Formats: sequence, C-alpha cells, structure tokens
Amino acid sequence: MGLRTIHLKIHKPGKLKREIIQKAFENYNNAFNYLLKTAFDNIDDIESNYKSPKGTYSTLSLSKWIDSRISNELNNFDVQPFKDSLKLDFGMTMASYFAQKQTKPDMVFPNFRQDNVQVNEKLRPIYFCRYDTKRSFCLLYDPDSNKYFAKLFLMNIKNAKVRKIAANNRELIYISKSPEPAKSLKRETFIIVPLSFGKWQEDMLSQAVERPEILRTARLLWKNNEYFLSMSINLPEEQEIKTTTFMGVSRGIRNDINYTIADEKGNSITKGSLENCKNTKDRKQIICKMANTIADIALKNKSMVILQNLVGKGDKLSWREEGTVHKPAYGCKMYNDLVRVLDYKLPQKGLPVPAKVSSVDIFHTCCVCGSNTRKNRFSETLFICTTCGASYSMDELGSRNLAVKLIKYEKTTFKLKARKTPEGMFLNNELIGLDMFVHKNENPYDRLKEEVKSLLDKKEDSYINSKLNYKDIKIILDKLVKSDFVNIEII
Amino acid sequence: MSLYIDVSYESINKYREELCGDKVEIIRSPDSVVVVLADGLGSGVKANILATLTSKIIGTIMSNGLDIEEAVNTVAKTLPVCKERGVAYSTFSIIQIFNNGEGYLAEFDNPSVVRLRKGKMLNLETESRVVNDKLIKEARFKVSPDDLFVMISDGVIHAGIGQTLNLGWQWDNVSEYIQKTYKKDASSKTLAKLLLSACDNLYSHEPGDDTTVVTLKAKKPVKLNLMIGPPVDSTRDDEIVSRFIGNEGKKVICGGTTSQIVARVLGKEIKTSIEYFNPAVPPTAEIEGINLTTEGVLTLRKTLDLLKACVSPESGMGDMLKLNKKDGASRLAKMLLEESTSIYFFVGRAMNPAHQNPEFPLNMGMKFKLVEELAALLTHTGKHISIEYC
Repeated sequence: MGLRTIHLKIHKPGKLKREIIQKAFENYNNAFNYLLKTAFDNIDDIESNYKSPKGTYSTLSLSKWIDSRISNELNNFDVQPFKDSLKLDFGMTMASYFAQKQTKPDMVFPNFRQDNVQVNEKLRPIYFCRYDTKRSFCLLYDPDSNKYFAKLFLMNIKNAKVRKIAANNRELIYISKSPEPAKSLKRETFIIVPLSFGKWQEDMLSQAVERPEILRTARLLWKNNEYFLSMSINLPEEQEIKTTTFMGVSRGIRNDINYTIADEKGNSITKGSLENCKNTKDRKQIICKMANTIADIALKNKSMVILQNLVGKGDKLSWREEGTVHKPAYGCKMYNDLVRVLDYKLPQKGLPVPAKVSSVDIFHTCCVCGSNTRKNRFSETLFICTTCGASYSMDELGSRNLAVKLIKYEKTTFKLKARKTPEGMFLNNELIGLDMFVHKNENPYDRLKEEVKSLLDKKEDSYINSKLNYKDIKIILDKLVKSDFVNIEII
Repeated sequence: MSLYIDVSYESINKYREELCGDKVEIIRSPDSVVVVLADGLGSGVKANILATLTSKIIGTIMSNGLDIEEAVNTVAKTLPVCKERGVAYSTFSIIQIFNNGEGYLAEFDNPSVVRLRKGKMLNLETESRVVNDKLIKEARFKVSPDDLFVMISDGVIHAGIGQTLNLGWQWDNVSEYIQKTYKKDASSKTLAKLLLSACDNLYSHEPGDDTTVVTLKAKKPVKLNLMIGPPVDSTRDDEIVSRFIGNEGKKVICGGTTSQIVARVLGKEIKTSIEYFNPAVPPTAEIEGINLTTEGVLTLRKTLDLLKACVSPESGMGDMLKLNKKDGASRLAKMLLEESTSIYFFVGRAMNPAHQNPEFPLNMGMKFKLVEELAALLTHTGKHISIEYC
C-alpha cells in the first residue's frame, strides 16, 4: 500500500491548549522565516557548496547548512522542540527550490517576511520529523473507550507547563513497541489532545496499535480556526489481486455515475448506476464516497477499472433539444477529481491503477456492431443503432463501451499495406515508418520479424519525423511481438 | 417507366405467443404488386386467424382489380365474431404499386405508412371514406425510383412502453429512425430487419405485442450476369464470353478456369489478390470490366449459406451485416440479394479436372445443385432469374 497520509482533527482543544498551539505556530513560522531570510543572503554559496557531484540537491545535505551558529540563533524563537524538524523542513524546501530552478531558471525564491509573522496570516504547518514518545510527537490510546490522543511536544523547558488535571483519570497507553501507560510530569513540554476521525482513519490507527513501526512523520495544520494532525503512515503493500473482469465507469446523463462489468470475453456480467451521497454537499466527500463505492464493487468482482480520459477531448454526452441543453451530472472537472481519487483508492485495495482511455465516441458507438455515428443517438437518454437496431440507455452504453475497450485494443490488428510485384512484395505501414520489400524467394514473416527487431533497436531520435511518437510506436511494435506476429491485417 | 418493387417483411410474435397476430400477404402479378398487412384483434391463434383471413381476402380481391369497398364488405361478412368482444375485427393497410409507377394506398386503423423519397419524408395525402361503418383512408400517388414505403403494425409504435421508453416509440420517432437509417443501396430486407431489430431491442426482447414491418422499395431494374464454369464445348468459349460481356448489367465470374477463359477472350490480365479476409473463403481476383471475380464452388457454397441465413425468418441484423464483409462470398451475396433485381446465370457444363479426384468432395452435380438452390432462393425473394446451361 505504501506511504499514506491520514488527517486527524484535534478535538475541541481548550483555551490554554489553543494558546500553546498558537504560540508554537508563531515560533515555528518565525524560525523558518529566519532560516529562509538567512539562506537568501547566502543563496549562491548554498547553491554551489551543497550540490552533489551528480548535480542534484538532497534534503539531508541542505539541512546541514544549518550549523551550530544558526542553530543557536534559532533558540531565540523558543523552537528547541522543533529544531531537527526545522532543519529537515528547510532542507526539503531548498531542495525543491533548486530542483525547480534547474528546469526553470527564473524560479522565484520561497517567500519570506522581513519582520515577524502575524498570527492571523496563513501559517506554515509545524513539521514533526519523527515518531517518538519522548520528543517530537506520538500517539496514545485509551483501550477502554477506544479513543486516540496525540502527544505533541510544542514547548521548550523554559515555557513548560504544569498540568492541573490528569486527563479524566483515564489511563492512556503509548502506541509504541513498548506500550506503557503515559505518566504525568511536574512540568510538561508537551500537550495531549484528543483526536476525532472517521472509520477509515480508525482502521489505520488500529493497525498502528498492532504495528507502531508504521507511524512516521506528521504536520500540525491550522485551517478554519481548527487544528489537524496530518500523519504519514507506511503501510505494507497489499497483496495484488489478479483481476478477472473489466469494470467500465462512465459519467451519465440521467444517473451520476454508471458502471458495467464485463468478463474477459467482453460479455456484460452486471451493470448499475451510482448516485451521489445525499447527506452532504461537500464535493470532496461526495467524490470520496463515490470512489469508495466503485472500489468496493471493483474489489468484489476482481475488476480492472477502466475510466474515461476527459483531459483534452470530451465525450459529447451533453444533449441539446428544443433549446435546452441537458448536461451530465458530473462535469469534466468533477469526473477528473473522481479519477484522481480512484487512482489511489484502487491500489489501496490491491487492485491495479485504473486505466484511462479515450472517451471519444463511447456514447455514439454501438457495442454490438461497432457502428460509430452521432445519428445513433436518438434522444437525451436513448441510443438506437442505425446499423443493427440495438438499443441502449445512453448511460449504460458509455460504461459498457469502456468495459470492453481494453479487450478491443488487444484484438486490434496491425495493418500492413501489401503490393505484389513479379519480383516480390512491398510491405508498408506509414504510422510506424515500416517500408520494406520481400523478395519472392524470402519468407515474408521472417523478414518482417527482422525488420521489426531493427525498428525496436532504433534510438528515439530516429523517430523524430514519424507520424507517431517513439512511445506509441514502441507500444505497437511490442504488441506485435507479443502476439507473435499473428495479429496482422493485410490491406 | 418500368419499376421493380423490392418487398420484404419481418414479424416478431408477442412474448410467449406461438403464432403471430399480424399477417402479410404479397401478391405479385405481371403489372403490379399488392401488399396487405393485417393486424388481427388480440393475439395468438384468434388474432392469427383474423389477420390471415383478412389479408388473404383483401389480397385476392385487390389483385383481381376489384374495389376496396368490395374487399371490406367481404371481410366484414366473412370474419368470425369474437365471443368476448362480439366484434369481428382486423386492422389493415394495403399498398398496390403498378409497374408504370402508379400507386394506391388504403388504411384502416393501422399506423400510417411511412413514405420516403431519396431518404426524405414525403407525406401521403389521404382522403377518408366510410365503407361498411369503417373509416378507410385512401391515397393515389405516383411512385418514383428510390421511393420507400414502410408499413407497420401498432406493435412497432408500442415498442418500449414502460420499459426503455415511457410512452413507447411514437410514429414520429419511427419515421425519424427510418430516415436516419436510410441508405440508398440498402435492400428492403435490410431495412425491415433493422427496424424490427430496433423494436425488439426496445421491447428488451420480450415484445408486448405482435410487431410487423413491411418495406417496399421502388427501384430501377438492375441486371446481373453470373458466369459459373467453362462451357462444355471449348469452341464456343468466344461466343459465350461475348454474350456474357454484351449483356446489360453487372458481371460476375465464379471459378478459376472460367475467369482465365474470360480474360483470354477479352485479352485482359487477371490480377490475383493476396488478401485473405476470411480463411474459409478463397481470395478474389480482378479483371478489367468485370465487377467481381471469385473462386468457384467453395465461394458459391459459402454465398448460398450467407443468403440462406439472411432470408431465414429467424435471421437477425447480424446476418445481414455479414454481407458487408470484404471476402468474395459476402460480396457476391450482397450483389445478388441487395444490388440486383434480375439475374442471368451462365452455367458451364465442362468437367473440372480438379473434380475428377475421388478425394475431392465436390462434383459436377453438386455445382448444378448449388446453382439451382441459389436460383430458388433468389426467386423466393422476388428476383427474376434466368439460367442458361452452356
């Protein structure tokens, strides 16, 4: 599954805790601002001295620019608990800046202020560079109430506080390899805050209780006057599921989203439509819930999901009738957002990354006879093929055509123009730049195999003047080789 | 002006009914063709009897030159009365087209006939009159080549009610679909099958009513000459080939030796194709001035199979679409079924040396049998067939 990020909300922190957090933000941002300002004054030295022999910049080496002198300077901002994090945060920022500068020489240096930051402005999240029960940050667990808490080290010794009341007398257990109960200290440089989260996050946290080593770094964010802990978790890879079916997922004109599941021969097994969650108007939530539903269906049917590629060319699903334009419920942007969510949700379930295929004509092509004309669309919702008479609802058709796209692609033939002469035969395919003559005494297949091999060995530069780019030509040639040259059509 | 009227009809029964309650009667006479579509009350056996009687009576009376009044009166007196409803009832549509281009239409309670000229809608101006308490709509009109008439039973406009469409397929939708699907070269068979296939799909393959489509396409006669096998007397090669070439219409040659003879007599080159569109059908060749040159018996057999599939009442649009393939058999089948109105067969009786091999499964008798089967099938579809054995 790899590295994941989960967002946990800090649940109703009290006034004192809010003040501590706010002060920590202020300190962290001022210290980071100071580092940027100082780095800007020494940018040429940093750029030349911290470049690797390969010409790249690493976070770790750039963080070493913060020597003991600068590190001592940072103490003025009361950021002792964050020093390691600040170094790495700075290193990441600079590495990113230098990397971008290499491709874009006029890249602007990261923004910083001449004076101290203001509390009411947008503040940089506080970075916690390690999971540790003694410093930086860690999580605590209350097994009785099944609640989770975060322990955040936000203060230096000088500003440490005395805790007045123990947290509701509950016993909190550290989520760590040695899960001991948390003890109160006389003066504490940390705060313990309860966390609120959804089912999915809870699943991650319960995994962390079993395997604390999966917990990595975190960032404390301030958004809309609320605090969130954005935490990185390194989950082991799910065992990849071998897909046996194809699931086409298209947007619809009547339904929000439609799906069709086809077997390996392209026969439709099941189909359906999905409606947006009605309990929320939050677009992100709607998309997430839709993606979860799709992922569950795909998992149940062991499906390779095939989605519309709505970047660039559209699918012409809108319909104009008597001056009214009927538009799909999912606009291109919303569908593309769904695609982005499915891009990571499906691999989380052990399914392959979804395929994105051209959606041109998926709503105008008959899935029985392949007739492709706009005349086939009869109304906003009805498709009747003008070649074979097959009829479908527009919504069903789109997903059905998507479901069989990969199967059809595998079946497409390699077209070879042949011209016979008394001496032999000319074979030609302009798309991949194949142009050859086979003498009548030679075996055309053997000669073709040799020619394709030489095309595959050619360097990318040799294809500059070709109709297709190198990548596409290689895909065609690889497919030809994979099929052992049987999918050839002479035209 | 002499017209050829290409007529076809297709029906589907109401779901779970053994018999169709719609009946079509086509009566061809030397000077006209009469087509009657009758839709019997209800469904099943009773509707089938009503529709059969109605179509037979009207067809016979009309083709004998009698008036619609006579036909309706006879039907009213003859039809058995339904016990449940106490009426004798069958709706009908009649089209009579004369070879000289005159047309007559009579309709009683059936959906109006759709008329297209060169693919565009052309309204039929009808007049109404009451015959035996029945309101009959009549029209007299002129028919031009490329006119298309589509008669439909009410099962067509009810297709999809409550299933894929809320209100079913309205007459306007049907006529729009016919206009969209119209192709100049498409045969009446293809058009009838296509519209019926659309209805069947809209019914989700469970028709709620008997559904029938009749298509009549007016065409200028198109002749096709088909030469199969070399003449038995090789000294007549030149004469036979000259007559074959001299005949009006398209030219098709079936057989390797035959095509060599034609090429030799005409002084033309045979260009063989290396394209195998279908491994089961030998590739074609090209001779200048000849529309299609194919291999002999194997191609003919495949052609016959394709035609049988298309003409069969059980066939679907998939069978018709096979005619659009590029192999020799599909191309020949399309030319015979869709692109010609009369076919002249030149059947050579010379023995093919290849057929002498006892292991070869085909013999001369089989070739003649193939030709006869082809001719019978094409006659059944309304083509004018002539066969000359040489």
